[in-house]
Order: sequence, then structure tokens, then C-alpha cells
Amino acid sequence: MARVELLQRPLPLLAAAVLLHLSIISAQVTTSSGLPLVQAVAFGAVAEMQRLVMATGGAVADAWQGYVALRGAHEDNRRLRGAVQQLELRLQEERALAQQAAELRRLLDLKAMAPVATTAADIIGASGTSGYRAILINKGRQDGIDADMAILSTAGVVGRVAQPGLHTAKVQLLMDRTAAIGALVERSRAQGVVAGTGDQLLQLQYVSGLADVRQGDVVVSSGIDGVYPPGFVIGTVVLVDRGPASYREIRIRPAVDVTQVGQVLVVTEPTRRAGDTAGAVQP
Amino acid sequence: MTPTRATVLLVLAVAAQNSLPRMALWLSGLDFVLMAVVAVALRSGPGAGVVAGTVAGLVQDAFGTGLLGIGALGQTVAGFAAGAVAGQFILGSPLARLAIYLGASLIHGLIVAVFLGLTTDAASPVSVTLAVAEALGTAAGGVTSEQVAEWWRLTWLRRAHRTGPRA
Repeated sequence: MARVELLQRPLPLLAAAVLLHLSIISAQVTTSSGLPLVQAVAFGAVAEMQRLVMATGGAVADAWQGYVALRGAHEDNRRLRGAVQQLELRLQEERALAQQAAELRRLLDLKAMAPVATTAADIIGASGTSGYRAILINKGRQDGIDADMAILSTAGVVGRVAQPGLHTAKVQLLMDRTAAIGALVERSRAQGVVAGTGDQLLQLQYVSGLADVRQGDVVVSSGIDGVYPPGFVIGTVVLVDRGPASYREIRIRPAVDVTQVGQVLVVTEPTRRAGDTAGAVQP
Repeated sequence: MTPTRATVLLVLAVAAQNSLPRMALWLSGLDFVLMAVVAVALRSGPGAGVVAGTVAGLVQDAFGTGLLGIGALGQTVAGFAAGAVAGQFILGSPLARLAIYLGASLIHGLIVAVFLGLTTDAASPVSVTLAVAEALGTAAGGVTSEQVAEWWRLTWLRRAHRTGPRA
């Protein structure tokens, strides 16, 4: 009854809700440094929930498969069909395993080439609203993952750890509207800052109008931000135009398509070599 | 709409928001949570819209990279506005509903953009084109989902009527 009465008075309810949100936002903004407590607690809770849901989902799927197999055992015909299905499934699994192995091999190759200490992680989720773009990986503080660690894939830079949980971590993608990375054009060594737009394309900012930048140029990380190691591919220039003031407007297509990537490398101890921007690491 | 149905709808929306972009990144431009909040508000009024927006918005914010509460504030006000308008007008046609979804999306986008500008150093300014495109996509998605749900409900009712009560 009280609930119904409350819902029938929407204005006080709205005022209370807005006050609650403003308090939460204020609490985070006024925090001096490090992770805001309220954000860390909330992320920890939902990340653990997602992990639990995924684990439960897997268990339910297993139980369901077991039930189907049990039913199939009673009838020969169904059993034969089931066997064929199982074989097809195994074939698919083998294919998936082969692909996974190939991807891991590529990751290992990259690991051997990369002058940084890394650890591999699986992508277990992705989300995005209003310009925010993030993925969730299955490694967290317990695996030595910390905030601001760079995330790489075989194709190039993915993003950085925005918020580490206990067993998972939230990764801010380069295309997030609040993301930025020190960058340089590989061919001409023109320096700038690549910023996310919330859209599919990234923006290369603060590049002088006199700089030599062309369509098709590869843009790599410069390493000056202290987060991303130098020399890793960010993307390819797809648009060069006159920008505001003396800067150019440059758009970049990211090298990494996160929808096509299953595993990533987390740079656990970035090597900060100022000025060392040797050629990009290509997969 | 019963609280149970509303809860299921919101949970499904949050799940979709945090799983579908993994398959196709452009889907992150659609706000499934806002669609669900508006759907709840249209059926149950502004009070339910406020509650749905607050709860689902906070959960969704926890998954994102921005400050907790900004998206939720947008969802709450959008839910209230949608419920309040729905209480004043008859919104039978899909076009009227599209306007409600679009208005709610724009309110949400505006609040998020303002608070993002006030609280964080966004690397890029808000793209009005992108914001409007996302609002249009969300509105179209919301109305389409409603139409599909209504078609499914009618089909189910017709089938139940044809079959008749079982002896």
C-alpha cells in the first residue's frame, strides 16, 4: 500500500531521486585521488554479479546438455542423431580451439616482440552508453591488474584499465569520449593526441597545419603519456582536413575491432622509454 | 505493468546493453535501458518511471566508464517526463510513442552531456550529430520493440481464442 502511495506522488519521488544522484556524483567528484569508493564498490558488486551470472549460465547450459543427452540415450534413432550432433559440435569445438590456439600463438608472438611485461586476459563483456565505451576482462586486482595499465591486442592498442575489480577489470576503449593517448604518425613522426569521440572513428588532435599527414598513414602510440608503451598501432588515417586555428582535423580508423577480439594483453609493467618510438609492432 | 514484469524488462535491458555491443559495436549507440525505462513509465506512470530510471540507471552506470549517477540522473528525469506526458495524452499511435521515446532520449542525452562537461575532462566535445543519431536510434528501437511485443501478444491471444478452453 505504501509503495503504491509513493508511486502516486511522483514529484517528491523525482526530487528525492535527483538529490540521491547529485549526492552520488558529488561524492565522486570531490574525492581527491585514486578510485572513488562509491564507484569501486558499485563496479565490484555488478562485476561479481556478472561473473556469477556467467558461471550460473554455464552450469545451466551444462545441465541442459546433460539432460538432452540422457533423453537421447533412450531411443536409438535419437541417440544416433545425438551422436552426429555431438560429432558436429566437437568438430566446431575443435575449430574454435584451433582458432583460439592460433590467436594465442599470435599473442605469444606479440608478447615475445613487445618490450613490456604482459599478461593475457579474456574479454567477457562489453558496454557503452552516451559516448562511454568499455569492455570487461576476466583479470582483476588478484591477478596483479591495476588502474591505468595499457591493454593491447595482436592488431594494436585496445585501451586502458579504467577500474580494476577483484577478479575482473573494466577497460576504457580508445573510442570512449573521455579517452586519450599520446600518438605520432609513423611515416612523418608528426606528434599529436588521439582522442575518442564515442563514435567508430578516433580524432588525432593538436597536429600542426604544417605537419605532413596523409590518408593511409599509420598512427602509433608515442609513449609520452606514461600509460601506453611506444610504437603500438592505434589506427590508420582516413580523413585529413583543415581544422580550427592552426591545427588539422584528422580522423583515424582504429586498428582493433573489439568485436573480433577474444583475448587481450594487459601491460603489467610498462616500459617508459622517453623518446624511443621505434617502428610499430605489427602482428 | 506489474512490478515483476517491469523488473524482468529492466534486467533484460541491462543484460542487452552489456552484451550486445560485444557482437556489434554500433549497438552501443542504442540505449536499451532507456527504452525499458520509458516503456515502464508509459504503462505505469511517472512514479514508476522515476524508480525504474533510478535503479536501472545506477546499475548501468556501474558498468560504464563514467561517473556513477550521471546516466542514472538522465534515466530518472527521462522516465519521469515520459510517464508525466503519457498521463496527459492518449498515446495510441506509434508516431506519438516515437515522439515520447525521442523526447526522453534527448532529455537523457542533454543531462548526460551537461553533467559530463561539468564533472570530467572529456577528450572530445559532444557531437550533436552523434547524440541526435543515437536518440533517433533509441526511439526507433523502443517503438519497434513495442510493436513487436504488441503483435506477439495479439497473436498469442488469437491462438488462445481459436484453441478455446480445454476440456
